Amino acid sequence: MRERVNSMDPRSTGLSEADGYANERLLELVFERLVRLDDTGKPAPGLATSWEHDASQTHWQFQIRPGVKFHDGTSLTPALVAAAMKEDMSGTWQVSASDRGIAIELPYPQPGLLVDLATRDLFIFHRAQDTVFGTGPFRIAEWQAQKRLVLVASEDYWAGRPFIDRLEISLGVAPQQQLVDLELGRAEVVEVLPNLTRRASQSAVRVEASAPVELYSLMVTPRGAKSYDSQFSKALSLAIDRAAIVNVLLQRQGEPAGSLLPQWLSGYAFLFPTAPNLEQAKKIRTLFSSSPLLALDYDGSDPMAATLAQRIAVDARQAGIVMSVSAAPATDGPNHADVHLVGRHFTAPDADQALQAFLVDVVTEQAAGDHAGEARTQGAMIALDTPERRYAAERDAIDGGRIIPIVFVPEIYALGPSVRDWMPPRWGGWRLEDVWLDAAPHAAATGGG
Amino acid sequence: MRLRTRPRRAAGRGIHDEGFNETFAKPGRNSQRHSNGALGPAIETYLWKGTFVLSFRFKLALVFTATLVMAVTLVTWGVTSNTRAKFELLDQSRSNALIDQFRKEFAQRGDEVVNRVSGIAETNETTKMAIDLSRPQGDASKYVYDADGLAPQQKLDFLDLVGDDGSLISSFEYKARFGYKTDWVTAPGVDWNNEGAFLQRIELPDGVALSLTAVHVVTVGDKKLYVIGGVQLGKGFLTTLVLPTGMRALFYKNLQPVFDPGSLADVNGPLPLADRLSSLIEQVRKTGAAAEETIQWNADPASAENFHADPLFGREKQLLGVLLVGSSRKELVSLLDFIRTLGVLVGGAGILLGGLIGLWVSARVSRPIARLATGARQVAAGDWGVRVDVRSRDEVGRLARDFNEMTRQLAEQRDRLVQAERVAAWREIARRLAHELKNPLFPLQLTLENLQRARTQTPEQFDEIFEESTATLRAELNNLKTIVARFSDFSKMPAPQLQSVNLNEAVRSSVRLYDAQFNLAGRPPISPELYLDESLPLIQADPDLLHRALGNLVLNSLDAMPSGGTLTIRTAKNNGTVAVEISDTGAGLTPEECERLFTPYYTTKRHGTGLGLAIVQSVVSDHHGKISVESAPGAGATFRIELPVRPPEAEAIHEITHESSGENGESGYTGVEAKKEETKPVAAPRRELASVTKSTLGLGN
Amino acid sequence: MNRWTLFALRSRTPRVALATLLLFTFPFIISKSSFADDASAKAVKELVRKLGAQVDHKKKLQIKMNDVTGSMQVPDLEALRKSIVAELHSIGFRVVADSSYDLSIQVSLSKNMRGLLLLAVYSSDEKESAVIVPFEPTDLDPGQWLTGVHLDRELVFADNSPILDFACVGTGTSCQILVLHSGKVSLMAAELNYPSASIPHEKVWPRDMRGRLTVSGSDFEVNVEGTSCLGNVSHVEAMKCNPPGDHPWIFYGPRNESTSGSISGDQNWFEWTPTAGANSIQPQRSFVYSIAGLEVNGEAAWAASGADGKVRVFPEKGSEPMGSVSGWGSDIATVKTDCGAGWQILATQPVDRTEVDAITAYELASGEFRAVSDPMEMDGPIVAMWSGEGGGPARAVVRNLKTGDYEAYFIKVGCSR
Repeated sequence: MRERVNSMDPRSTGLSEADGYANERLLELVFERLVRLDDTGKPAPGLATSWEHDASQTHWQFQIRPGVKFHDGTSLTPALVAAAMKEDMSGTWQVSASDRGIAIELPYPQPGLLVDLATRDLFIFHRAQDTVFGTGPFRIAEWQAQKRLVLVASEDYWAGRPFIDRLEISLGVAPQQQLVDLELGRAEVVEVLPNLTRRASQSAVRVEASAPVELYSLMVTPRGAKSYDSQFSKALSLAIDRAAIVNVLLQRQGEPAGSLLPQWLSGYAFLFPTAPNLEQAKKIRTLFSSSPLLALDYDGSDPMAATLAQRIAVDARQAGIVMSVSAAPATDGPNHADVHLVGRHFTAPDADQALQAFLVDVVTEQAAGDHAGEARTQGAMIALDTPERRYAAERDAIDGGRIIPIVFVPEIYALGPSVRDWMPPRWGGWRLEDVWLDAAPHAAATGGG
Repeated sequence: MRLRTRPRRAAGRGIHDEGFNETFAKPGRNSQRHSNGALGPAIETYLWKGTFVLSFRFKLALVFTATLVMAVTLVTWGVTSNTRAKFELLDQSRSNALIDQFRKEFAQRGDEVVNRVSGIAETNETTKMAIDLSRPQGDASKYVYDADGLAPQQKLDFLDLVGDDGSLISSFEYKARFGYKTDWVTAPGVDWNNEGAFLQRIELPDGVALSLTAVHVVTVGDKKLYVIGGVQLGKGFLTTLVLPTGMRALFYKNLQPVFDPGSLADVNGPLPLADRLSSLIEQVRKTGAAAEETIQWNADPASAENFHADPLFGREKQLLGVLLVGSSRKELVSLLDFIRTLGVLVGGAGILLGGLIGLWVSARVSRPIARLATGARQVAAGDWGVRVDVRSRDEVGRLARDFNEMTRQLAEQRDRLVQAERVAAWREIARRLAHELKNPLFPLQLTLENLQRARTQTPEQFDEIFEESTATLRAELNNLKTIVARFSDFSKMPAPQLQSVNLNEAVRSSVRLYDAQFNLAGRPPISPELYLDESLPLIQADPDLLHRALGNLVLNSLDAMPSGGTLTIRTAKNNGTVAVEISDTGAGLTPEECERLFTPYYTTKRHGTGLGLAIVQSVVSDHHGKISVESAPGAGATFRIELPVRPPEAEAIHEITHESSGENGESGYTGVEAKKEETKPVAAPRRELASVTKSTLGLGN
Repeated sequence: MNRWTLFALRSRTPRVALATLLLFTFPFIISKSSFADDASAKAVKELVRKLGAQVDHKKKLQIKMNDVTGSMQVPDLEALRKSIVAELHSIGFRVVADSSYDLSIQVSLSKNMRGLLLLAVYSSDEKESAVIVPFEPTDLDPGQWLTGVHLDRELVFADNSPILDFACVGTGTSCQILVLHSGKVSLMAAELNYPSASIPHEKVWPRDMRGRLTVSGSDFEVNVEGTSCLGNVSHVEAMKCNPPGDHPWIFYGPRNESTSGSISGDQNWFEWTPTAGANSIQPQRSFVYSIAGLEVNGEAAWAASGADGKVRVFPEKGSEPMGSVSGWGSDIATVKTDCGAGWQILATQPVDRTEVDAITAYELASGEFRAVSDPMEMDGPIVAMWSGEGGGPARAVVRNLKTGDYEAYFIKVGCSR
C-alpha cells in the first residue's frame, strides 16, 4: 500500500485525511458497520439485520444481528453497538440501546442515513483493556503503524470464515516496487497506477479496475472578482484536453470529467462537456489583459498528480495561461497556490452523499481546516435528493469556477495468478473475505512474503 | 689703548646697526654658522624677497638623487611590463589549451550520446514500438511511459520519442508534453543518423536545460520513429576537464533572454557574484565571438582573474552556451608586487646614498664658494679686514684671490676717505674759531688803544673814556666766554637719564617755548600745526635731552621760515618705535647741504655755531634712534626722528657718554679725537641721507 | 492498492468459489422493449409533466433523441420519441419537425448504477435546464416481452436442510422428486417417511459440499465429491456406491457428446481438459467450477466457468475458446429454446451467500456474450445450479434469505410472444 496508515483504531480515524480512504479500507477488514452496501450501492443488512424509521426520518430503529461475536469472544449486543456509535458520533445524534436493537434520533430528517452508516467511519467496535475489537472477517495479529499490518481470519465470522488464513499488508511501498513484488510473487494483490497498467497487463498478472471512483479536479482559490474567477476557470477548463489525459497518461483507465460525479453514479454526467476548445479558451483568456503567473500545486505524495498537473499546465499554456507547477507543502501550512490539483475518492456509491461531500469540500476549500464532520452536517443541509437538484448543484459549482473537474480515475489492482474471487464492489475497495488463493497454478505465489 | 678699543666697539656696534638694513637676515650669526657647519649649506634656504632659495649644495644633492631614483624607476617599470607581457602570453596559451581540451571533450561526449541514442533506437522495445506505430491504427498513447524505461538504460538525461508526424509519443524529461509537435526533427533534408550530436535547448516542466542531443531515426516502411536523446550539459560536464592549478572552467547556459546569474556555474555549482561576469558574457551574447576580461573579485588585486569566454552554438547557430576559462592572476600579481617592492627598496637606498654622496661631493665643490659668500657678507658687514683662504687653482680659487685683493683695496680707500674727512673737519673748526674769536678781539683792541690815548686827556675826560672802555671790554669778554661755553656745551653731552616720557608732551612743551616767536612783531607770522597721535606709548628717554633736541629742531624750522609759513609737527608710532616729523615750509635744502647738515659747526646762519643739528643728532643716536631729513629746494624740509620705545643698551650709552664726558677737560686733540670718534654714530645716518633725493639746509643762507 | 501476501500455512483450501464481479457491467441491460412497460411509460409521463411545468406552452418545441446507454436500436429510440411527443401533444405543446421551433429539447436516455434516467435538456436565455426522471425497469413484469427470451422459475419444493441437487423422476405430473442432501439421497413421496439412502464417507462432509443427480428413466446416478453411486427410484435404499476415490463426473453435450471432469476430495472445482481439436494446440488442464454443453452456430460446445472467474466457451473439439466473459457467477447451466440463438447460457451473479442472487440468460454471438433476458432475481443466493438433460429446464437451489429454507426451482427459458 502506498499510503502510510497511522492507526487501526476506528475512533482515531478522520476520513478526511489524505490516507483516510486507505485507512478505511484496512478498517473494513477488521471492523463492520451496521449497514453494508450491495452491488448496486443500495443499503443492505450488515450488523443490523433490518431497520425502520418514522415518517419524519428523524427516528430510526435498527435490529442488531444475533449471534455475532467480537474477536475477543464478546458477543455483539445493542448496548455495545450503542456505546461504539456514541464514541464515533459527534454529539449531533442520540443513540440509545434497547433489548432488540438500537434507536437513533436525529436533529434533522436524513433520508441518506443508511448510506451514511454504510460508508462513514461508523464502525462497530468493542474495547477491552485498551484494545479495540471488531466483528469483521479478520482480526489484527500484528500492527506496526505506517509499516505493516498482519491479519488472520476470524474463525467464527458470522458471514462465514474467510478463506484466507493470514493476510500481510505492507504500507508505504512505492508503486513500481509493488508491481515488482507482484511479478516476483512476493505479493498477490497490488495497487497499480494507470501509468503501470500496460506493464502490468504485459506480465502474467490480471489487472482489475473499478469504476472510476476518484475525481481529479482543480480547486481555484478566489482571486479578485468572482466573474474573473468563473471566466478564468472556464478558459482553463476549455484548454484542457481531458481525453488525451485519459487515453495517454491514464492509459485509458478512467474517464474525462466535466462533472463532479461520474456517469455511472449520476447518469447525467454526459451533459457536462469535456471536449477542449482552445479557440474559445484563448478568446476568454483575452478578457484578462495581464497574464499573471499562476501557481498550480498538487499532492506530492500522489505519484499521478505531478504528471497530471504538468499536463494541465502544458495545455493551459496553449491558451496563454501560464502556470508554475509545484508540489504542495507537506505540512498543512498556509498554501499560497492559486490552483490546487486535488484527487479525492467518492465517500459513497451514492450520488447524494458523494455530491454533498464534494460540494462541502468546494465550500470549505477556502475555509481550510474545517473539520470533515462539521462539513458533512453542513452538506446535509443541502437537499440533493433528486437528480435534478444534484444536476443543478453541480452546474452551479462548476459554473462558479471554484472547481474544474479533470478526470475520473478507477482503482486498479493487479492480481497474482493464484488469486481467486477478487470481486470488490464497483466503487472500489476490497472484499478479501471472499478472496482465496489457488495453490495449484503456481506454488511460488503462496510461499513468498 | 682705549683709543683703539673704543672705535672697535663703536665700529662693531656700527656694523650691527648697519646690519639692520642689510639684505641678509641676521647676517653676522649666519655667516658664523656657515663657515663652520658642513651640512649647513646643503639644507640652507634663504628668504630672498619673500621667496625660498635652495642652496647650491642642496640643489646639487637633489639632482644626484633624482637621477638615481629615475634610473631605478625605469628599470622596475621595464621589468614589470616585460613580466606582465610574458605572463599574458602564457595565460593565453594555457586558456587556449583548456578550450581545445573542452572542445575535444565535447566532441567525445557527442559521439557517446550518438551511440547511446542509437543504442536505444536498436532496443527491441523501440523496434516493436516502431513496427506497431507503423500500422494504420497504430496507437501511440500506450507508449507514453516507455521513455521512462529506456532513458535510464543508456544513462540519458533526456529522451523523446517522436512519431512520424512529429508529435511527441513519450518524453522522459517532460512527460506531460505528449501529443504536442516537435517539428524541428521532422524537417526534411536532415540525415539524422549521420548528423552527430549538437547543443540544444530543452524545455523542462520547471524551466529549461542545455542538452547535448543526438537524434536517431527508426524507419519502418514509410513511417519514421524519431529517438531524440541527450545528456545535460553543465556542472557535471566541467568536472571532466583537467584543470592546471590557478585555472578553472565556468559554463554559462544561455537559455534566458537576458543574462541570468543563476545559469553560470563552475564545478562547485552556481557561481557567487556571477553578476561580475555579466558584461563579458553579454559581449559574447552580442557578438557571438570569443572575448576576454579581467575581473577583480575584491579589493585585493591578487583576487583578479582573467576570463576567456568561448561561445557554443546550437544547430541553428544560436548561441546556447558560453565556456569561460578563468586563470587566476595571483602569481602574476605577487610577482609584480615583489618586483615593485624591490624597486622601491633599491630606490629608497638610492635616495639615501645619492643624498649622502651628493652632499659630500657638493660640499667639496661648494665649500670655497661658501667661504667666498661668508667673506663677502663680512665685508658687507663692514669687516674690511676679511681674508678668504682658498687653495684651489681653479676658477673658484682665482675668484677668491680677486676677492681678497678687492677687500684690501676697499679698506685702503676707506682709510684715505676718513683721513680726508678729518682734515676737512679740522679746517672747518679752525675757520669757525678764527671767525668767532676775531669778532670780539677787534673791539678789544680798539678800546685798549682808546685808553692809551685817553691818558693825554683831562682826568675827567679820561675817567669818562675809561668807564666806556672797561664796559666795552667786559662785554666783549662775555662774548668770548659765551663762545667757549657753547663749545664746551657740545663737548660734554650728559648721559641720558632714561625715564618714561610722553613724546607728545615733549613736543608740546618745546613748541610752547617758542610761542612768542610765532607771532613776532615786524615779522610775518608762522602758524604751528600739530598732528599728534595720542595713542603713542610712553617711551624711555631723557626728557631734558629730548626737549633740547626738539627745541633745536623747532628753532631750526623757525629760522628756516623768515618770511613766515607753517610749522607742521606729526607724531606717529610703528612697531616698537615712535616717530616725530617736523616740517617747515621754508626754502628747502640742496643735496650737498643735506650731505653735511649734521656736521658740527656747519651752518649757513650768520650767527649760528652749527652745533644745533649736531646736538640733535647726538641726542637721537644716544637714544638709539634715527634722524633723517627729506627736502627739496623750495619745498621746505622735513626732519624725522625715530626713537625706540625702549633703547636696548642703555648702559652702553651710559658708558660711552661717561667716557666721553670724562675726556672733557683734556687736550683739544683728544677731545677732537673723542668728538671725532663720537661722530661715528652721527656719521652713520649719512649713508642713509645719501639715499635722500634732494636736501638743502633749511637754514637758508 | 495494497501489497499483501496470503499465506496458506495450514493450506486450508477454500470450499466456496464466488465468481468475480466485473466492474462496469450493469445488473440489467436495456432490451428492445423496455419502453412498452409501465415503468418507462410512467417515466415518460413524469418527464413531460415536469417539462410542462417549466416550459411555456406556447413555445413550438423540437425534440431530439439521444441514447447514452448505447443499448437501444434506432427504431426503439424513435418509438420512445413518439411516445414523448404524444404525451407533449396531450398537454397542449406543439412539436415541430422542421426548423421553425422556438425551443429545442434534447431528450436522452441514460443510466447509472441504480437504473435508468430520462433527461430532457433545453437551454433558455443562456441557462441550461435539465429535467431528469430516474426509473428502474427491473420491476418489469416478465412475460411482457414482445420478442426475445424471458426466464421463468418453478418452485418444486423447499427444505430447511441444504439441498445439493434434485431430480424429477418419471414424466409429467406423476414425477417423483429425488433429492440429494449432503450425505443422503431421498425420494419425496406422498407418504411421510419417504425412502432414503445414505452415502458412505470417511471424512466429515465439507460445509460447501457439491453433488449432482443424473437421471435416465428410473435409474439415477449420484456424483458427490470422492464417490459416485447408482440406484433406482423403485428401490432407493438399494443404492450402490463406489469405494472412495477419484470418480470423474460425466457431462453430456447437446448431442450426447460427453466430457469428464474430476473433482478431488479437498477442492470444490473440477480439473478439466478440453478435447484436443484436429489442428488446435494441445489443450491445457484448467480448473472449472461447472461445465455445460450447448450449441453455438449449430456446433457442439462446452461452456465452462473457470476458477479464475472467467466463463469460456470451447468448441466440442478444440482448446481455443470461442469466447470468454468475466463477471458471471460460478454456477452456469445451458437451456435449449426455440428462440434466439437456440441455446442460452444461464448465469448466476457473483454474490456471496448472504446476498440475493439473480439469473440472466446470455447468448454467444460472434465471440461476444449478449444478455438476452433481464435478470431474474431469486429470494436468496443460488447454492447450486445444474443443466437439465438434453437442454431441458435447469435446476437451481436457492437459499431463501427470508425463510432460511433451501428452495428447489426449475428455471425455464421462454420465447416472448
